Amino acid sequence: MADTTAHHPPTPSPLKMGLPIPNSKLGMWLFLGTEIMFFTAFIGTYIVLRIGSPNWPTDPNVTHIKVFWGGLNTFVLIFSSYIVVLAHEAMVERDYKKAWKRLLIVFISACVFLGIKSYEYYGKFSHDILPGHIAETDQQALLKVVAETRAALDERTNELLPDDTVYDRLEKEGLTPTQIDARIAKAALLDASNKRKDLAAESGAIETLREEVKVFEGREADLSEAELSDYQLKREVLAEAEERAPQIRHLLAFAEEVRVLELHIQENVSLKVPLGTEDVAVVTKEGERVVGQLDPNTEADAGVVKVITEDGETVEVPEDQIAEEQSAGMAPEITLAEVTERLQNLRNFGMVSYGNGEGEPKEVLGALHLPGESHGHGHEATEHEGGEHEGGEEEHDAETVRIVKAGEGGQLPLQSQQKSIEFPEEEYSEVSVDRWYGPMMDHVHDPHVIVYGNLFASMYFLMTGFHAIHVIVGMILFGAVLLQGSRLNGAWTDWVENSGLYWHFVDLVWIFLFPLLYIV
Amino acid sequence: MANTQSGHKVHYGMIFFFLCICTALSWIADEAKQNGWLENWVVIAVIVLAIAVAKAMFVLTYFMHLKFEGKWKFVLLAPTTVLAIGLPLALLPDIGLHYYTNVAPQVEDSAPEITEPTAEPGSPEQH
Repeated sequence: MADTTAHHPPTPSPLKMGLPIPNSKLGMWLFLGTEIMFFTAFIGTYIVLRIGSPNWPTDPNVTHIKVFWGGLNTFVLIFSSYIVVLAHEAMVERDYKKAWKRLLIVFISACVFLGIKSYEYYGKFSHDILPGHIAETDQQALLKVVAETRAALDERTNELLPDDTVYDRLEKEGLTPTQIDARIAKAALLDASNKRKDLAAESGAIETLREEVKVFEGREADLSEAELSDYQLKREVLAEAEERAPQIRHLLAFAEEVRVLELHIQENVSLKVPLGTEDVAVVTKEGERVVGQLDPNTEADAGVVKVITEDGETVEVPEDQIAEEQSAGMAPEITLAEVTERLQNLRNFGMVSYGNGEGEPKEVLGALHLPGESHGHGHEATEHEGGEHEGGEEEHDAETVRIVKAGEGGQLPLQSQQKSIEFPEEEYSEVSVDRWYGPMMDHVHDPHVIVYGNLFASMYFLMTGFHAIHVIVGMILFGAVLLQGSRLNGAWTDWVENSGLYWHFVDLVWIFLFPLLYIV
Repeated sequence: MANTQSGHKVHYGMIFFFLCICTALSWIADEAKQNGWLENWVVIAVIVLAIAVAKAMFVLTYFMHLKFEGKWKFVLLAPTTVLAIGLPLALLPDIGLHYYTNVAPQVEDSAPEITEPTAEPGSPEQH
């Protein structure tokens, strides 16, 4: 063997196959190639949809996209990219301690990025800028108000009367678990509307109890022992119920408000006119046609027909002047501005107290409007007819506190029947309201119409969401290196280089997402 | 690979500085839009996207070392680019730019209205 090889020329160095880079790096670049296509599919689709959708939402007040946070995140990613490069340099120079420290900075930057991102997501969630949640027409906005108020009402109902309480009550009646389940299923006892009936009964029971206690009050000395213990027991029960009683009362009052609002929206009838009145067109003998709704307060034998016209004015037509009564089939339609106003009233509805700090403050049931409070709807109002008019009113009321008084039944009257107390802001230093419907109305958004808002939200969450997933994957890659601690050595150089390439790509995607989502 | 770095000393700090400047420029473009200094939407889009492309080139060329890589980079990036551009080009004629009026319910109000001949304001009714 030895002599045969001696005659051969020296074996050439093995032929170099493939690309002159490590396999891991080639793998990473191929992966990044697919990633580029993945993200350009999103970005390209977004651009096309953006161009093809007139009135795409761009107003930061509407989209709640703040260029500052996007810009800050851009900086954070660019900074971390820069540090990754330095970390790789340190790895090449075999200064592993320095490399580790730099990668730690990168890791922290990624955390900061995700922190800012979560803050932005939180804003989107709290304003309900979510795919499928956004109203794009007035009609949708109204339906959303119905759904949200109803959901808030039911949620509060379940809070005040949890399912467990219903089970406990039935258990106390001595029913077996199977009987309980059967009863609940049969009578739909866990249904929120049925629970409200239970709560109404409870409210009545508390009232009865209060009266029973009152009978004993002041005559403790005359009572027999049995009566005294009965009295004590009832007082204890009542004391426990006292906290609950107003909560139940407010919930039931709110249920009524929701019912009124819902009916008006369902029937598409303005909040200015009462429901259940008929639309009429009264033609007088002189040929004048009065169109509107019959005033429900018209007395049968008054000899006049009262018609509430579209402007909310009441026109009285003497019966003997009427030539013909026609069905007009037109009640004024409900508008978004009206509903917004009513929601605002419900939000601030409750016992309003106002005083100067001297003596007892005055109290009145109603909705409190502090000056400058309704400015939050400015951009919303301009989208609708009458927005300018409203704006003018606001300016006029700039220094005035207004309290819309509740009706006789403790309800918020319809818009045309509202009476309010007004006084200059400086007249009373202490103005506050005990918001009755706070627990419910905090879950109801003011109606906003955002044309193409759902498509916008879908694209926003799709792109930033996938980008955030990539950030998390990058953090795992760097985390693996950081876990090595002082054991970090040259074997990790390729890992750091490839993770670095990946991280630069994550930065690259954001470089495009930032202008496309935040600016254009 | 250690040898990709040796001999190509890049001043990474400068690249970082340029990227920050570019981000600031995008922000200024946005300010221009918000304050109404620049109203043409297309111009703003072109400006900020051009800045984004410049930033992307900086990152690709220096941070990702493409400047110092062999010819293989073209083999890898060319098909990617073709596919990336293909999708928007394919969708654009129908969804992006169309000659017909959009019939989506959202744009009912915003669609250019067909102007009908209307009576002069204030002119007395004929009937």
